[in-house]
Amino acid sequence: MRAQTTLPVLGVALVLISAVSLIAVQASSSSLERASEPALDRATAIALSERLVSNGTDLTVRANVLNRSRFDRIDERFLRENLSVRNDTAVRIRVGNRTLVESGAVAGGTSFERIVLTRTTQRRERYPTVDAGEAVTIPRRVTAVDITLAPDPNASVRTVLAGDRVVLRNESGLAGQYRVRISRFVTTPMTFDAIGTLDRGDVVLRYAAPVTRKATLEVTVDG
Amino acid sequence: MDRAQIPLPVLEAAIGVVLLTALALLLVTGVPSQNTADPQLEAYAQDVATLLGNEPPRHANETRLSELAASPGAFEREQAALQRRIERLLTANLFYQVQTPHGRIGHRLPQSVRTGSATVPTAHGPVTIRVWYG
Repeated sequence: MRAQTTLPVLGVALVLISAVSLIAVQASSSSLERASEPALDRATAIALSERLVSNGTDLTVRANVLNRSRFDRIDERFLRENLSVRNDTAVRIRVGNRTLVESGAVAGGTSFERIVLTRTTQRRERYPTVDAGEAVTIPRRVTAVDITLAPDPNASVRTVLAGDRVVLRNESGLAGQYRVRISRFVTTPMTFDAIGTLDRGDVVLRYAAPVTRKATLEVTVDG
Repeated sequence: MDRAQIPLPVLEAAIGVVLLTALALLLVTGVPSQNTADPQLEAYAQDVATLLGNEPPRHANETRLSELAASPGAFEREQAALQRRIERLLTANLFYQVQTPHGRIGHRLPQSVRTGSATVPTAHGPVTIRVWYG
């Protein structure tokens, strides 16, 4: 009769165990529900903002610098497919005062902000008079210059220098379109070594000058 | 000899109750989170550090921050411009401090305030940016 199971005692034990486990499961599930909603939204917003500003995507020029001309690519489909946002999660992405995308009804939710620059490019054309040997200064942040040389038959451009560096050279004369890569970290003086008389418009420099503006990227997630 | 003996199922049930209650309490109270870092402030600091760390310098060196850290003279020369730049980047409700090997720029860091910080290693020493809500 030692440690012998008796049926009523077993019944009592089972009832006790199942009651306690039921209470435990209910309490923990309700506490999880209460706690995780804003935290999950916040984690999603942080992850989304991180991916939007990271370097090496189509949207950014470099880390934290957004390419304004790609803003129209951020739509609901982009959210679902590229950023893998769940279908039942409402997301709003704003840059400054402009709302890029608002999928679903965002009421409240959790916001996360990032400090970014937005970049647009302005096409610039310069028609230098190169006779005097004066330099054309290309501003910083320009990575490439398109040079169009169309000198008269009685004139020729032999050398093009970017700073001290010879970028184009032909003893018998340069003509046509060339693309020259320059450093984006310094201003670059472009000088031309020409023979004969060049008219204004025989040498054309075209480049895309980036214009950056400060902005705030705001990602709001309402799960 | 069958007196003064707790039936085994009751003993087992008691142990089970204790275990389940412990598990439930753990889930209800949760693991205490470390509230030392505010992710939003950390992100602000990191963003400013990334932007300045990739920006071309005004005179010499590789980037704007390495220019600042290069020498005491460069620090003296650059601090006003960098101050303007950071004030333009940060929103109005944020205060900041930049710590370099040659000195500090920005506001005085109050005690017991929650800050976000980011450190950029440069060739001339680390530059740390701290931001907090004013």
